Amino acid sequence: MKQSNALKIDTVTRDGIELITIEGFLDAHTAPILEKHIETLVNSNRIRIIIDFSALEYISSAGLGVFMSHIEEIRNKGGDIKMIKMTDKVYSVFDLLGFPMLFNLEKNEEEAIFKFNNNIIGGSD
Amino acid sequence: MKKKRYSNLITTLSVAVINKQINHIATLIASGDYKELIKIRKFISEYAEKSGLDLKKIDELVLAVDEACSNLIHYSIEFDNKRTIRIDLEKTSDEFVVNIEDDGQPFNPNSVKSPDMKKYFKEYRRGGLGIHIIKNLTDELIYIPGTKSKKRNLLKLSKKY
Repeated sequence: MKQSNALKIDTVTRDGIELITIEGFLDAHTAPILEKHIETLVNSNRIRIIIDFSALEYISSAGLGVFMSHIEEIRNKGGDIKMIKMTDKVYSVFDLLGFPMLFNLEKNEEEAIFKFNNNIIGGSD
Repeated sequence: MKKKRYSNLITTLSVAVINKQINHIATLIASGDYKELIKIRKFISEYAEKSGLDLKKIDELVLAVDEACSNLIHYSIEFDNKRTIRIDLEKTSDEFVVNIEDDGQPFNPNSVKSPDMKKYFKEYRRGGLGIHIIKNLTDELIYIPGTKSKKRNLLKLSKKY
């Protein structure tokens, strides 16, 4: 997998769910790396995705664009992207643009899995 | 009589300009490559912190400058890494100012309307949020397009202390 010093991506598959951990900086330079990674998962129909943001230090609108570019196809296929453990700094960028209207932002993996198991899709409350 | 009034006005304006003392802090020249963004962010964050801007405002300003430079690298200097963006930092009594200059196609960010985010999500749109972010996270945005004699465009972003 293509990695960058500025962004590290790790994926663990468990019980049909992909847990992606992203670490570092998600900007216009590194966003295409994550985009390609998610695209590969979607192409092999691995569409139940949880992204762990705890080690992500920075996000710009290019990073937000990665999630916008895949979410429609993933949901049409019956999957979803759920986001967990966002730091306050990264959350404030999502919140500034109203992204919690579209995505489930959860505290941890268990809550994200609960939403998957109960078919709860879309913005957090 | 009329002349006198004008001259008083000019004196008043001059005093106002002089009172707003501008101190130049630092300059960074970056090339037209997204790889430069990390360097630009470090530059802004380091000097903004030294100048006493609080951490939340630094994060906001860093993001606004990143969005502005990403747009310039993409649309204005079109990934030409032989061309440059020049960033000058200034401090006044109440503001930290970032002046960003490029020699690409002029584009006035003030001409862009804010997106309707409900519609944006409903239609699963993508991109076009950078300018919206810049406007939301800065206290002042001034754009001066280049002219025949002075080719470089100037984008001035300010954050109040």
